[in-house]
Order: sequence, then C-alpha cells, then structure tokens
Amino acid sequence: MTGFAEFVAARGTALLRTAYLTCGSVHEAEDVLQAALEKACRNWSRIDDRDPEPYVRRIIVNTVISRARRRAILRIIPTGSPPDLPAPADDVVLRHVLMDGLRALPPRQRAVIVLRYWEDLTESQTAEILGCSAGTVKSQTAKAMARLRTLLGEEATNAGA
Amino acid sequence: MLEHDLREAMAAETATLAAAPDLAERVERRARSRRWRTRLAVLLVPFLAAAGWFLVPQALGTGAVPADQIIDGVLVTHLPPGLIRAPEDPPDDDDFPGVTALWSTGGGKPFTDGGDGISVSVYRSADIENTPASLDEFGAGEPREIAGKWGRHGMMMGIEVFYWVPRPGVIVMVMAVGADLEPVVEGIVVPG
Repeated sequence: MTGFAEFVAARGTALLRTAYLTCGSVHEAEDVLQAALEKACRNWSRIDDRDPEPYVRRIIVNTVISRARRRAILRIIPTGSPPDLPAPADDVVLRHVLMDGLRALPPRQRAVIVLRYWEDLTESQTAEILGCSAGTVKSQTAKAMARLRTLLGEEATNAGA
Repeated sequence: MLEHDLREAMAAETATLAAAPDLAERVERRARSRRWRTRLAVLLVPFLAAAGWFLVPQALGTGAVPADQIIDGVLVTHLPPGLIRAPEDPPDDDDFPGVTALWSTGGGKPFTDGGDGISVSVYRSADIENTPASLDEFGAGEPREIAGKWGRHGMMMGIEVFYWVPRPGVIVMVMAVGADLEPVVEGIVVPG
C-alpha cells in the first residue's frame, strides 16, 4: 500500500507516545495505536493525499475516551500503571507527581493536556480533534491545570512536613 | 512554570517508547483479513437477520419480533411494558464497532434525564472471544451468570449492566435503569 508503511515508520513512535500519554498504559497504547492505524489503513486511498496524522491522532484520542467512558460505566477508572523503567534521578519527584496527576485526570481533560502541551496544538486544533468548541478546550485546560497545580501544592506541603 | 514542567515530564516519560519495527506490516495484514470478514458479514447479516426474524419466534413459540427489536441481527424478544424506542446517538469512534438501541420512558435518555430504560448494544470484532481476557478487555464487571448466560455484571448509580459473548466475534451488552435486567437478558436471541 503506497505510503502507509512509510507513514507508520516515520510517525509510529510519535503516535504511540501520544496514545500512551492519553491512556496511561503502554499495553493499551499499543492496542489503541494498532486499532487506529488499522482504520487508517482501510481508508488509506481516501486520506493519503492529505496529511494522515491528524486523522490517526483523532482516532487515537477518541478511542481512548470511548474506552474510558465504557469502563467508567462499569465502575473502573483506568489510572494506568507506572512506567516499567526507572526514572532518571533528577526531577524524579516532580515528574512522577505530574504523570500521576495526568493519569488521574478525567479522560477528556487528560486528552486536552496531551494535545495542547505534548502535541503543541492550538485550542482550535484541539477542539477539532475532540469535536467540541475552543471555549470548552480552554475551560477543560484551565480545570486540568488547576488540578495539577493543587497536586503539586499538596506534594510540596507533604515534602515540607 | 507548570506547562514547561509538564512538557519535560511527558518527554521523559515517553523517551523509551518506540513503535515496533513490524507495526505497519502487522496492521496491513490485519486490515486485509478484516476487510474480507466484513465483506462476508455484509453479505450474510441481512440473510441471517431475516432467517432469525422468521425462524426464532417459531422455535420459541413466540410472536414475530418487531423490526426495531432486531439489533444488528440480534433479537430482543422481551422488553418491559411502557418503554418506547429512543432516537439513536451517533456511533462512537470506538475500537469495538457497536450498534445500540435504547428504549425508555417517553423516549428520553434515562441515563442522564431520569426515567426508566433498557439499552441493548451489539459489538462485533474478530478479536472477541468467549474468554475472561476478552471480557476484561471490553470492560471490568464481576463474573456472573444471568439467565443461563455467563458474563460480567456491574452496577453504578442505579445503572445495571451485563455483557457476555454469545459466540466468538460478538459481545451483547444490556443496561437497565429502573427496569428488570434479567428477563431482557433471557430474551436475547443471537441467531447463528
């Protein structure tokens, strides 16, 4: 299939990282990425003349949110698992607090943070992927950042105690 | 600056992640295989649904199931009285392609607007198997048998949920609010 393998080779790792940050689990990220790429592969003839990355990214983020919503109905809120590899020594506490905080956010807020600060998308680009207004992205970002700031504050208080 | 710290943390967290070298090849292989299964299903589903619509009520000794109680080929032979079919939401862009039908008091959305309701969802995927792992991947209720069907059961905020794999490739999920779940589960018939 023309271009598909090249696209995956070039962008697969970046998309896997986005999937991981959005869902918080390596295993699920690989699964979601494979499912998203499979959808893209089936529709490749229709999308390969455009940049396919936003299309795949949209599928990844919305798949993660859909799964989380379905699990929430069944009383399960995925918070992911800690990374398998040891973290570097510097800033280890800050990084762990931030990543734990990110995993603890509601799925949509987590997606907003990943798209805004990991993918560096604008509010309107983020809104387009999530199918909501730029105002909603703005308010969700503010809520998520406030939550993370609170967590950081608690951590600082605990560390100082 | 929190934004900066977040970017640094996310970069460090994902630094060791890399896509598998054979990812594209695996995806293309799965897509080809799924394409054939989908074509076959497109050919077979209307036939099976029609056959089920005619044959199953005969076998069960019940009357014909109304057309709006056949969800992607699955027959819902029992619904509590007084519920009417609610409009469908657009499908989620989900990894489990699913079709959902909702019946509720007044045709509203009982899960958010109040009132009673039953929803029946049918998910089809070649990856679905009747194994604990497959059920775990779908959701995470408690193992339970309802009306002779082994599946997973959950309850949250008055919403009762049960899902099971009637045969490989299909998950049926029934949700109930203010209505009895068991007779609906008992009345689900999956032809084939």
